[in-house]
Formats: sequence, C-alpha cells, structure tokens
Amino acid sequence: MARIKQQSSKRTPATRSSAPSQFAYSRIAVHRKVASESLRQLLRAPGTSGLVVVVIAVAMMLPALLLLLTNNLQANTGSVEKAAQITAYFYLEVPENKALAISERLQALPEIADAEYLSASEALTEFSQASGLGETLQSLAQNPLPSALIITPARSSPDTANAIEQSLASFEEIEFVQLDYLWLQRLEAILSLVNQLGGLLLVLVAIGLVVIIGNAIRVEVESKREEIRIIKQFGGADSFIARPFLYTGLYLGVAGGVLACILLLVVLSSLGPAVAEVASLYESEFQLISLSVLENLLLIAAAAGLGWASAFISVLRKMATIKA
Amino acid sequence: MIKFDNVSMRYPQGLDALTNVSFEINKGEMVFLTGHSGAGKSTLLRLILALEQCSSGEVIVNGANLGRLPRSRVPFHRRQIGAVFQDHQLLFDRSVGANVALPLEIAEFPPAEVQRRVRAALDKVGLLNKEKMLPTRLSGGEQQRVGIARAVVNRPRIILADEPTGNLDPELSAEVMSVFEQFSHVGVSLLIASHDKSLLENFQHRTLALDHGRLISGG
Repeated sequence: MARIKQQSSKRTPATRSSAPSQFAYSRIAVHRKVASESLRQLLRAPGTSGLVVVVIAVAMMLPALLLLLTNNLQANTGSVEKAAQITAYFYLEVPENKALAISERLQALPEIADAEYLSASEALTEFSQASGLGETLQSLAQNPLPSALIITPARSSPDTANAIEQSLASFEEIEFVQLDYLWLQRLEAILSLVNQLGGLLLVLVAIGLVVIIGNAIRVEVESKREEIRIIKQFGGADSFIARPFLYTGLYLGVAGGVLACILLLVVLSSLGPAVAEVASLYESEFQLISLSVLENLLLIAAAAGLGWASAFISVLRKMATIKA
Repeated sequence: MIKFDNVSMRYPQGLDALTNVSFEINKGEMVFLTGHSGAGKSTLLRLILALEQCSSGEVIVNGANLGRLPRSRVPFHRRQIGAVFQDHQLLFDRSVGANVALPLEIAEFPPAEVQRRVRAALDKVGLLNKEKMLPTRLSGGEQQRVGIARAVVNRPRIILADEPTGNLDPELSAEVMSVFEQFSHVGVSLLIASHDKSLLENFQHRTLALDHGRLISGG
C-alpha cells in the first residue's frame, strides 16, 4: 500500500478557499463541458433515448401534417380565384354605351380588379356554344339574354364581395347581381376550423411530449440519485445538478424535431406522384407544397424547447425529493 | 468559526439526537468529537453542513446563522466545508481523480486548476498513482483516503471528518492526522469525530464528548 509521502508535509495548504467567482471560468466553457458530457452519455445508451426520439418525431408530425394540409388548401384557393367572380346583369333595355360607362366607373374602384363588359349578343354566342342549343336559339325572334358585367374582385374575401355588391346596388341599370362567394366563405370557415383543430392538436401533443420526455428524464434522475445526493452534500447548486439533464432534454427534442422533418419529407415525396395524378385528372395546377426552411427550423426549435421545458419540470420536481 | 448555542435536535420520529449542546470552535482550532455510537456525533456534523436543521437553539458557522440561511445560500455554505463521511460516499462509476475533483467542479474551477489541485490533494494522501483507477479497485483504507483528498481539495475554511481513520492502520492514521494538523496551522478549523481512544491520546487536542445527545465535556 502506498504510504503518505512525507515531503508533502512541507507543502503548506493555501489559507482558504477563495470566492468561487475568482476562479469561475467562462460560462460558455462550463456549458460546453456539460453539453458534451450529456451528449456522450446519451450516445452510450442509444436504445431508450432512440425510442423517445421516435415518439417525439411522430407526435410532432401530426400537427405539422395538419399545418401542411391547410397550407396546401389555402395556396390552392388562390388558383381558383377566377371562379369567385361577381356577375352583374343589366336590364334588357339598358343601351350598350351606358353599360360601358358603368363598367368604366366600376373599374376605377379599388376593390375591383377588372370589370369586363359582356354584350347581349356575346352572351348569346357563348351560351349557344356552351349549351349546344345553337339552332333553337337562332330561331328566336330576339335575344332573351341581358348584357352583363363580369367583375373580378381585387381580393377574394367575403368582405370585398360585400363592398362590391353594395356599390353595384347603387346603379339602377343593374337588375341582378350574382355572387359566387358562398362556397369561398364555406371553404374559409372549414380552413379556419382545421387551423383551430391544428392548434388544439398542438396543445395535446405538447402535453403528451412533456409527459413522455419528463418521464424519460425522471428515470434518468432516479438512476443518479446517489450521485445527486453526494453532489448536494458538497454544495452543488440545483442549477449544477439540473444542467446535464436539461441538455439531455434539449438533445432529445432536437433529435425528435430533426427526425420529424425527415419523416415529413419522406411522406410528402411519397405522396407527391399520387397528388399530381389526382390534380391532373381534375385539370388542376395543384402543387403539393412542403414545409419551408423556416418552418422546418421552427418545428425543430419547438421540439427542442419542449424537450428542455419537460426536462426542467421533471428535474425540478424529482430533485426536491432527493435529500442530501 | 463554529458556534453551537443551546442546540437541540429531535428527529421527526421523536428521537432526541442532541439536547442543549453549546460549544465554540475557533479559527485554526482542531477539535475531537467523541462518544459512543448513537451519541449524536453524526447528527452534530450534519447540522454544521446544513444537511439537517436543529429543532431549537442556534448553529452559527462562519458567521452565518444556519437557521436563517436562505435555501439558495446553502450550497455556498457547504462549499466552504470539506467533509469526510464515515461511509466514504464515493461515486463508483468514476475514477478516483474524478471523485476528488467533484467539489472543484461544483464550484466551477477551470479544468487546468482542477487537474493541478486534484493531483496535489491525491499526493497529500499518497494516492497519486491511483488517480485513474475506479474506487472499487481500492481497499477500504484507500477509499477513505480518497474521501479525505476530496474534503481538502477545495482548501476549505472548515474540515469535518466522521471517523476518518476508521479503516486505517495506526501508522496511516497518524499520517492522515498530520495532514489535518497542517491545515489547522494555516487557519482551518477542524472537527474530527472519532471513538478511537489511541488517536485521541496520541494527538492532544480539545475533545468534545457526547453522551446520549448531551455534551458532557470539552464545551
């Protein structure tokens, strides 16, 4: 057995411990050390933490997919704006020059992008072509169709439509206004409902993740009960004890978020051909849009934040039960 | 440095661990604490470390009344005290060096300083060559000395030791005691709990004797 060296008795111990701040080196260095140690510890046992990461990824995918759904539908409504036109029909006896003048006045309004005049004869030609009733219509003594204005609103919102409808009502020459906005209103209502569902789902997923990550961290803290007890005896502050676990939570969250982004990419690219097929059958220019870089980063940041917060709650609660 | 004023300690189960204990230990003083097992030695040490709160009376350590110490200040209080525990309390999943480094890492010393001080402390207890080993590979006496190195590594103002020589042969005990005496010479206050009669006789220091929680001499 090694004996205590006698020469060490010549060495005088320093008077006393200096204030910790004197030696406290940069916070960044402290964090870097703990961060790398936590990472190493996680990688040493990838099994359990891997499972947690998969759960986080799948859970984060649900609200992300819903967000993508509404994103895609909203982008798609833009391409069908033409169908949201307003048609104003003139009385039969209104002469063409008067109708044209009204068209010009309407064109000047800010909420109207375009007001196209469709004369009665043009309307008849279009109708006979579309209906296939050409000969029957030609046999009529006079054109039964009125002239009309086809108005494209500047914005496809129900409010704009209402404003335009009111401006049109002030013209005595206009007999009837046909609004094609109801379906748009319905779509908007559905989209906002889906959005709200997405928000609700996000909250539920967040709660679920806090429980799952929190539990993983709790098990981790429990396995280090003895170590924490000894650290407390030697004056380890709560922040010192909690730090490695907070990093573990952060890593689990980041890994889960990154995995969610990868899985979303896989899902979207596998759905791509099928969506294109459906779109082409409907002669639509519908294009599947995926999450933007920013949205991907936000998803990862949200997962990271959740991981950290879950660890924080879990460690704080568990640490209080460990007595030095 | 350490002052007990009429301190009583009753555990929630109703056990009276200490009754009306008063004493004072000055800066640089080395004091023994003796008594049969269960006399309250460990409880007294735990009170100084703020691991327990006394039921009545006042414990004043380094000018701070521990009864009124805010919870957030407790860690800083403990960092000024080097403690040697009876059951060593080593972490068996890390090396001897890492165990000794623990108080320095808690106080966030820079790595180079940690390295230097750990080696100095291990050298003092004659275990420099075991720095990289796991504590499980050491004998009981060696583990005890690792605990002593850990207690002194932070150059504390106060050293508390619970049976620090329990597993050591007389020669090693004497050497550990001489390390402790060096610390007292530079102003560190020491309180050493022991029921080792020969140790108490060989080193002439004031001795606090506890009997069933009461201080019967030395106060």
